[in-house]
Amino acid sequence: MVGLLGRDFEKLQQVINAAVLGSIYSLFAFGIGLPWGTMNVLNLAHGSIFLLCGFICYVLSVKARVPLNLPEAAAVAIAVGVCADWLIELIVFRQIRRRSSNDGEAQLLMVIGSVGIAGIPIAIANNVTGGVPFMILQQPTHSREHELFGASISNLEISIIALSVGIVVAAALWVRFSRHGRGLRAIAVDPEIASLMGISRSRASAIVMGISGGTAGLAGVLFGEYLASLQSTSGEDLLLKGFAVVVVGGVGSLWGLLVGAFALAVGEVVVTATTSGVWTDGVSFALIIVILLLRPNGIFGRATVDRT
Amino acid sequence: MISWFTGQTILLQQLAVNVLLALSFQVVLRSGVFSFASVGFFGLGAYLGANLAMHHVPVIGVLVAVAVASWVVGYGLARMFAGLRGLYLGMITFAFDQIVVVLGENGGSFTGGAVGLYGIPLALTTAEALLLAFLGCVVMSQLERRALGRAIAILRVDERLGRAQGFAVDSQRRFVFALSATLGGLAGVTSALLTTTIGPTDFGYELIVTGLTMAVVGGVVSWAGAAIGAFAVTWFPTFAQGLASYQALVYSTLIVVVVVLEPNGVVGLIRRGTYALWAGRRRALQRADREGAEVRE
Repeated sequence: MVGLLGRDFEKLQQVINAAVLGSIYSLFAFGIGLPWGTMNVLNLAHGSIFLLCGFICYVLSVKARVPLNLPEAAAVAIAVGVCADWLIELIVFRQIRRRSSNDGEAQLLMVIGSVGIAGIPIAIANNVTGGVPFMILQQPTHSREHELFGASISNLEISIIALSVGIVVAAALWVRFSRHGRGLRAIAVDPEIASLMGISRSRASAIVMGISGGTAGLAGVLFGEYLASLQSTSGEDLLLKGFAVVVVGGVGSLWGLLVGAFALAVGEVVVTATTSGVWTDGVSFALIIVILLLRPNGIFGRATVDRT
Repeated sequence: MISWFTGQTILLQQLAVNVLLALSFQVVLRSGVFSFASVGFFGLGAYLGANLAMHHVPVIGVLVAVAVASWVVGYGLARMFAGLRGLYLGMITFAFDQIVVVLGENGGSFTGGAVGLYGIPLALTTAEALLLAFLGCVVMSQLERRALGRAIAILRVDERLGRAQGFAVDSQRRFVFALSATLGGLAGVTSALLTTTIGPTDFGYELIVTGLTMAVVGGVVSWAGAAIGAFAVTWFPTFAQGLASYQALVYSTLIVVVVVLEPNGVVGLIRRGTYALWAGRRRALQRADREGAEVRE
């Protein structure tokens, strides 16, 4: 990477860009990887919940002219995300789990259902904004820029890195060491046996979906502010990158998720810097396909527990 | 009749495309293979067919070439994805759809880039397209009735059980995947030849939602479900003109409602209805029998 990018401070700037991008990817992908790794739910609506949170901020601050600053907007978005994912869990996933006879069928129905859910916020945002990019706050937050060996990094970027990495690390520790976390890992191995041990599956999935929705909301506001705008397709574009991250890291491994996110970000920054930029999105596809074909369980993933 | 036919030409053309696409989604979901690849093959088939037609290949040649190419690519992909199950497969096929979009956007003169291809020869008539869709239904219904079709349905319920019963589960999965690819490719080429245009926006996320809506609302358990779904989705916009801009919203909501309340869709509803009817009639007969016996005593 080093030889390709020209002068030193430009190199450092690229490293900072990759770090910020990687942090956002890890925060977003965490919301996909956690329910998948623990509850076996692939929530294809995650991208559109991300969009919904940014969109609600837009409606509140730009349309309804409520003066919101960034922390308030983040709080609103997190609340929206948590509520939205709880609703999905309550109305859709829990009902499907209750009604279907075997786990495979329930998984299939939940994936299809989440495709349906994903369409709802996208359709609403599309109708309201007409597909045009929208800002999530009245004016972009002015964040102080710091000089760092010739490169610059803003307060917003620092908080993106700190918050994202902090949340993912905290969650990884929580899953590893806390009582609830142990319960989650037990459910991931075998839901039936786990429920015999007195672990409540519905409570666990409510916790997991709440966390997932909250991170979607936070990611929506941070990413929206970082890029200065969102549009109705932002969520779907990011969803695929989230997949790539989860797949590279391996489902069920939160540390792998961090590695995957930063690997993807570095790859994208290098491709953008060395080619015309049209192939940037190709990095995530290439990663997905190569990893799934060579190491279907990801680099850090656990072997699937298969019993008859 | 003829005037009705000409008045509905566009809808009938849409119906032909929708039926093929819905069958493509339904056949994989029926066998429990989580695949959204139909939409990617829709794109590939459309581009290939459009290019062939623009080089003056006769229409039958175009259709055969697209069908064969889709089958081959689908079979190859199925081999590549052989180790993937469930959610992983769903995700990689989802990625495959996006890759086709990116290829379409960057494909140079073969795909016409982001604007797509225009002025594709209008090689297919509406009647021929409908015939193709009808043939698709016939093939799928016959397949479903036969041993292979019934064996494939086991994949959805319990793959291990199927394997234990001696079914060639792996080759069946490849067959289903390739079949779905062929139907998807044919849907794409039909659409390209009927509308004379194809571009990367024609097979994006919305087409996945539309395809899923048709298969799921109709019912993935049978080809009839796909056909019912295709009819409903094709004629829905004419019944709900005020809702035109909220079409995507209605489809999405429908998917969720059906998946939660009646996972087997309209077909499941009809089957349950007939069973209930039969059960009711049998109960009535038994009661009549009992009463008759009492009278005789």
